[in-house]
Amino acid sequence: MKNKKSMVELENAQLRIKNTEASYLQLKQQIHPHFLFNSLNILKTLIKKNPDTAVDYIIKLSDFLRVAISSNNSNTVKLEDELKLCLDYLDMQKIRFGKALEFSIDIPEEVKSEGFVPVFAIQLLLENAIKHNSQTYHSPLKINVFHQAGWITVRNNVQAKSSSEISTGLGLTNLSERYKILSDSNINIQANDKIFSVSIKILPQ
Amino acid sequence: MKIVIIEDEELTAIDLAETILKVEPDAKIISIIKSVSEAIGFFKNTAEIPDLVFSDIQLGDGLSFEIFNSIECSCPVIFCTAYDEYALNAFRTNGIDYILKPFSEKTIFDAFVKYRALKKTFSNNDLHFDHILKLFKIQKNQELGSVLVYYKDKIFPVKLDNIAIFYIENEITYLITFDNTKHSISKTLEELEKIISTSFYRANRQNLINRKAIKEASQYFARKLSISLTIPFTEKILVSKEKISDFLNWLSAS
Repeated sequence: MKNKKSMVELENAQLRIKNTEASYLQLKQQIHPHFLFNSLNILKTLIKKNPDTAVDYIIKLSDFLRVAISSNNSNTVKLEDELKLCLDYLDMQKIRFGKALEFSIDIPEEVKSEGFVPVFAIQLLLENAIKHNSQTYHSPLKINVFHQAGWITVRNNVQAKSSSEISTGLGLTNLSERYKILSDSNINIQANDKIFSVSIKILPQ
Repeated sequence: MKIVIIEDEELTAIDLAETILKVEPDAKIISIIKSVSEAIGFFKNTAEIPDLVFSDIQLGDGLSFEIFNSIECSCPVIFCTAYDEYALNAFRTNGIDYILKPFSEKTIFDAFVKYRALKKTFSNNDLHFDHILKLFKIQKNQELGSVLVYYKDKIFPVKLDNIAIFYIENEITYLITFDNTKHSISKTLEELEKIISTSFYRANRQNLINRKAIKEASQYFARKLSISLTIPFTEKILVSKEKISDFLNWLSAS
């Protein structure tokens, strides 16, 4: 009994560490100057050219930053909240890159409103897809987010960049370890030379 | 004056083109290009050499340095970036011109003033973009924390901290973790060497070793060193006599 209790305590401590790491990574990535300055740059042009889109962009950016800054306390978020954040993120990227980026999010409403996922889990997968693959008008990057039997999959066409940053693997490693602690399942990575996909299990709470 | 713009955000490209025409009404934007591959194609085929190029750094299919690395381009290039600490460092140390986004009319105006003042010397002929490209990649990758392991159609990450040694066997790269599991990976030792930190050492052609995995080094024939590891490893790991002092320096630098 005592043993079991200390096991639980240990797991909790591990979870806290992973979460701290994840929120640190998130902060570093999301509120990374690169992201902010690129947003400011596109906003400057939008204000001149298309003020309505600028207004939309600012609201999405604010929502996104608010979650990024305040989310580190809880381990998981409602799937619908995570998806809202992902949609904001993809919409912002789409405004910047236009036809070079295509995406679809296809998750049934009842799944959205009931399930939970680790905070920023899906967003990380989207960001990875954008970071590691080439996207041009000629051959757009295509990202699909969909649901299948209790799992959410983020899938993209593989298009190697001629000079890409070699993956540090930190994001995926961290996500994988958070999953091992939160549930007994690991994340599921599938890859060949055409498709890369990562599936994560929807958690009950 | 003939100008080429290389920029993957269409709105930014249009904004830049308009701003250029405003401060420099005689300028002619001969092309707006959106990717590395498109740009290489353009420069290889065009008869019209631009007088000045404005180029973003991170494009959808790679870094714009690759363009100027693979074509003969005698025209000056002004790089544009919203924020890129690595690039800015490289620019400052190599005397490359850049402007920061979001740009103002004044930013662009100043760029033209400078271009005109320095026209004769304002050329990137002597710059070595392959050098910058390399610098860029290496710096970007300093934070490597894991490598991806392929097993059947699955991939999973293994932390560098957990890896004792990378080695080659029958031309395949393997790694062994501190808990004695062996995996094959898709990178060569040369690639790994470039991207992982100094906690690993390339002892010879076959072996890349984690400092923490080294138990001891002992004298061997022909004034070589033989390394034994804290994990079971049957192949002999030898350090040639030319490399010994370098190796010992690395080993003592922990």
